[in-house]
Formats: sequence, structure tokens, C-alpha cells
Amino acid sequence: MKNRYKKVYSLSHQAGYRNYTVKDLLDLKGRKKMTQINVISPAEASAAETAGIDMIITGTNRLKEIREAAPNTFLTCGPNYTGHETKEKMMKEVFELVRIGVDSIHTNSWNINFIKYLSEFKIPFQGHVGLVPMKSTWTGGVKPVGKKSSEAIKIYNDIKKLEEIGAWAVEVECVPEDVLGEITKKTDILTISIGSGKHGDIQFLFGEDILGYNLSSAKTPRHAKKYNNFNKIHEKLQKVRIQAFKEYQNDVQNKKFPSKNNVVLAEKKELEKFKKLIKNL
Amino acid sequence: MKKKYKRVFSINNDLGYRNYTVRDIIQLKGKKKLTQVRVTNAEEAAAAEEAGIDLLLTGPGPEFSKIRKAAAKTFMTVGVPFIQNPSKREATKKAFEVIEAGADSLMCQNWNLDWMKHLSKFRIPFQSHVGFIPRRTTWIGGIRSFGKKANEALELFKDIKDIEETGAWGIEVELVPENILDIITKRTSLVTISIGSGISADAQFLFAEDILGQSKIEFPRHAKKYKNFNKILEDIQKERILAFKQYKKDVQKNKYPTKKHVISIDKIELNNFRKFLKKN
Repeated sequence: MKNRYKKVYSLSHQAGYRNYTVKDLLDLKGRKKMTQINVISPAEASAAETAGIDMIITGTNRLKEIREAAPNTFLTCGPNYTGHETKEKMMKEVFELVRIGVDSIHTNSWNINFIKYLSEFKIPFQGHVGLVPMKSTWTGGVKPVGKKSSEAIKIYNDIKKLEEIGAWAVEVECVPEDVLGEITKKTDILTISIGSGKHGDIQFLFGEDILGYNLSSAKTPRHAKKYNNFNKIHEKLQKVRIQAFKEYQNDVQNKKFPSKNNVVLAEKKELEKFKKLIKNL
Repeated sequence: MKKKYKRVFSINNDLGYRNYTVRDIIQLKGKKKLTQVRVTNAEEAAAAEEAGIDLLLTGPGPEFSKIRKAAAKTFMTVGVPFIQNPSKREATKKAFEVIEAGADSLMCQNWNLDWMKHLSKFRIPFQSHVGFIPRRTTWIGGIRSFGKKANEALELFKDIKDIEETGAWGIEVELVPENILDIITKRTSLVTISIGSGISADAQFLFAEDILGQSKIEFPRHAKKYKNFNKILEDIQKERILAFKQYKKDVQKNKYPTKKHVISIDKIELNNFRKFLKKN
């Protein structure tokens, strides 16, 4: 696996190495099935990079650590719009993310005018259509979107709008496979499927669901595939932690810790001198 | 091993359960060896409570509320950094914040004595720190034990007495000769908490990361490693990598997603949609 990374400048002019530029990704449309994973920790990010996952995406919480853990993987970050009441303030946060080293922004459920403003800076971004959790009250809750042709048309129009504004990709969530199949052929931007079938240019899953642990959802969603049982691994790990702390507690109570090799001693002469000194206090 | 928790009001007036009140801890001086562990996340805190660790210490960072919830019944001391709170007023303000978040006691490391006296007027329990103090290393000439010479031991004793006078309940004593702390422990009403200062202290204190063997720095001589978490975490990371590799392979070989992962659409609706696309 030589020459996996190419030399690039990041959006904030840092020289570095990446697996893809945005142009590479666009050129690969229709030629290569790619993968994207949502990661929430440096450990997941680093594992994704080692495993050769094509793209990772994360929130703003641990971005810096995650960028450092996977410095060579195309990284998208999704800042929440609710902390920013104007497009200028929104951009201020985007610039901070760019400085940390993101390669692309996830615009999720932003105001369309904010997205247009972002595009004026030529900062690569991906949008989000179909079941968009933060907008799901408009589509009737947590359920598929696009089973009616009228809904499918709406999704198509949303994607075309994003394409016009200059998105490089769009996450398509819980849309019928055949619908995304048709749309993928009719758009130049990359379609990222989560629960929307195999015709997406990119398959997207949460690290959490691949690994099989549950933080954000009560159970692994139907569209996901679980490759391990990290709930169980975490449980085992916790048992080892408890055991370690119990052994320590026992050692202290039984005066087995600290032992001679854990301590320092004052010489006899100094000790006697000290005893005399404090006697008079 | 059934643990007994007693009903208490926390300092911020929440009704709950705790293993100790500060009075219990003070009364156990000389009667029972206690343990204190410094935790940095909710998993460590929960494990410590489950293991029956007596006291917990942690920082006031964003993890604190999760840590408090994870070990809701263990006497918990929280550090209030002086450097971000450069006046008595600001330090007290931060102390109140930490108490509102559920601390049972504060760690006033490097605090000005006068600030501690002020805090004590609110009857807020706190512990402090003497001996080798990382931030004050420059005064003792580097990272070394403190109190091997009689005059240093005397200085240490006076420091402890000064802190006793402020109204503290406990004192972390770091890297002090065992036979010196032995003498001092008997001459102070403070609960002495040893880290690297020997067996005679009232309580033993270690970092969770050292107990677990998860430290990224060289392992300190005073600590005891009960597990090799660095190795365990490496193995888990291998599992992560493997899972992600399998996912990638599945996608490349069209093995994921399959029928059971996708949503289907009615033929009529699909045809309507196709007709629309043809026109656009």
C-alpha cells in the first residue's frame, strides 16, 4: 500500500498529506465505491485511517484530537447551526474548523442562505437530504422519506439545489434504494448513502454501529451492519477496571501497599534531628 | 461485600447518599486506612465506586458532571485551579460553581493560605497539598522527594500546621520520606493523604491511570500497576481496525448494503418518479 497519500495544502494553507482531494473524489464518481464513517474519538479516527476508510466525519467536540489521530484522511466536520444566528457568525466557526484542518463541512440542516454564503469561500461542503434528524418533524418523524413519488421529487429537487450552490456531495438518509439509484445517475455530485441502498457513490455508517455499541441510539438501526460487539468489550473492560481498584483497596487495607520499593526514607541522623526540632514547637 | 451508604445533604442541598461525610473521614483518622483515586472519566469513577474506593479526586472540567453521576455515592473532591482564578473572589466563585455541580470537597492546590481561610468561613470542606508540588518544583530544584533533611522536614511540618489552621480537613503529601510523614501524621489533626509518602499516612492516593497501567509517561516509582491497560487498549484498537476493514471490504465487494438494510418503493411510485426525471 505505497503512495496511499498525496501531498496537499489544507484549506488553511497547511502542507500535509491526504488520501483524497475533493477533485479526486468527484473524479471517482461512478468508478469506485467509497466509504465514510462518523467517528467520535481519536481511537476510532485512527482505526478508520489504518483500515483505509476513505472519509471520516465528526462533530466539533473533539475535532482537534481527531484530526491529529487521522491526519491523512479526508475529514468533514458538521457544526451545528443553532449556536449561530447569522451567516457571518456561522462562518466564524467554520473558519476555526478550517484552521484545525477540516477538508470539508457538513451543512446538515443549515439555512440555505448560510450554505450559499459558505460556498462563496470555495470551502467544500456536503449537504443532507431525506431523513434529516433535525428536520424530521417536517417529514413525519424517524421513518423513511421518498416512498411516494412526490417525496422522491422533493428529494431530487433538494439535491439539485445543493448541486447548484456548489456542494461536492450529499448525504441521503433512509431513502428507497431505487430512488437513490435513479438520482445518483442524474447528479454530478457524490451521493452518500446511509440506509439508502447500494447505489450511493459512498456508503456511510456510524463508527458506533459498525463496532456495535450504543451511545446515540438505543439499538443498532436497521440499515446498519454490526461487525463487532463493543458493548460487550466495554463491559469486560469495566470489569477489569473494577478488579484493579478492588485489588488496590485490599492492598491498602492489608498494608501491602505501599511497600519498601514505593517509598523514600530520611536517614536516621536527619530523622532524630527532626524529632528534636518539632518537640520544642 | 455489601456497601453501606448514608443519607446526606450535599453542600448544594441535594438529598442523596454518600459513603462518608467529612466528619466520618476525620473521625476515621488513625482507625482505618482509606484510599483515594484520581479519576478522569466516568468509567473510572463508576469502577472506583463499585470497587469500594473510599474517596475520589477529579478536575472541574467538562467531564465532571458525568463523573459525579457515575459515582454518585462516593465522597468526591474536585480541584479548583488557582491560575485561571486569580483573586480570592474569583477562586471562591469557581469553588461555588464546583459545589453547585455536586462536589463534596475541594482541592485547593497551590492556593494562597488567605483564600483557604476565606473558603473555610463558608464551612466548605477542602484539602490541600504539600511536599513535592509539581507547579512549585522550581523552588526545590526539580523533581525530587521533599523532606529528607531535618530542616526541610521542619518546613513541611510548618506548612501542614499552617494549612491545618486554615480549616482544611485533609492534606495530600507527595514524595515525602515515610518515616517523616509517620511522625507528622501523629502531630496533625489533618487527614494525611500519601502519594509516594509511605504507609503511615491516613489515606493512600494514586492516579487511576497508574493503577490501570494506562499512563503515557514513564511509570512513577511510588505507584503500583495492577493491570496493563495500555496493552488491553491496543488489542481493542486492533478490533476496531478489523471491523472498519471488514466494512470497507463489504462495500467494495457489494456485500453491504443488502436487501435487509434498505428501503423499497412501490412500483407505481417509482415509475412516476422515473417519468418526472425523464422530463427534467
